[in-house]
Amino acid sequence: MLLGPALAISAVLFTLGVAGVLLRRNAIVIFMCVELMLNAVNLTFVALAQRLGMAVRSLSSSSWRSRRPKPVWDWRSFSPSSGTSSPSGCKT
Amino acid sequence: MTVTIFWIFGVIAWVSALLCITRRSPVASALWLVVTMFALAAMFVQLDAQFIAALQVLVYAGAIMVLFLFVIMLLNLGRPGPTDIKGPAGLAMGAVLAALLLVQLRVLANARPPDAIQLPAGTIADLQAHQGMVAAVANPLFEAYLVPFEIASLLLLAAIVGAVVLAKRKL
Repeated sequence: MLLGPALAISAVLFTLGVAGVLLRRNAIVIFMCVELMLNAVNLTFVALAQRLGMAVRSLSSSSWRSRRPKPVWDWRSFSPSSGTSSPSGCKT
Repeated sequence: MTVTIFWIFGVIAWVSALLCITRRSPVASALWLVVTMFALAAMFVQLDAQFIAALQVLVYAGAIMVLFLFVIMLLNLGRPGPTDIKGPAGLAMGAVLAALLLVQLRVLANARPPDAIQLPAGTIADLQAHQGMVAAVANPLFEAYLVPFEIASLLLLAAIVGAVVLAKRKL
């Protein structure tokens, strides 16, 4: 729900940082504008991780799924039980 | 309501970032940047990333801002002097390039991740309630992404060595 506003806010913040780097001559102020850009990208990461974080993780590691209290894998069959597929739809 | 509060903090971040890049005094710029950092921390809280928000306040609004002010005071840059904002030509070039970038980012913002890889709403909040706020960050960092984490620490070590070599000519 907040993904669109977060991306818009971080896009404008990143642009303001770029404008600051291009407009200022003082080295320390340019460094501050670089920090502004880094923070804008941080906001993008956090906003996307809220929607995609587990999907990204499930491609690389299934550690969280294996620790859920309910058994996720039916060990007698070679496919995960229905209804507990990974959010990405990819079987890792 | 949530979206409205999010936008309020976003506008605060925009205005303070704009003031940060237009103030003449570096001290004023640094203090407006602190306001931007706090607004970003508030947005992180709304995005279910409370631990990242706490780190943002501690590290950015605390340590990095103190570093900036320390450098400004040490190099005696805080005195009012001639402005360091570039002239009309530089201003026009900067404005054009920044507007171009904004248009590109606007086009990119229309792209949505496919629904197949999106999480149902509230998944991250459930994970944090189940694991704890810090563990939700620490588990991926020390399990799945351990190698990138160690590579980043090597990069920081190289930066420290480089800074010492550059700063101390006579070793």
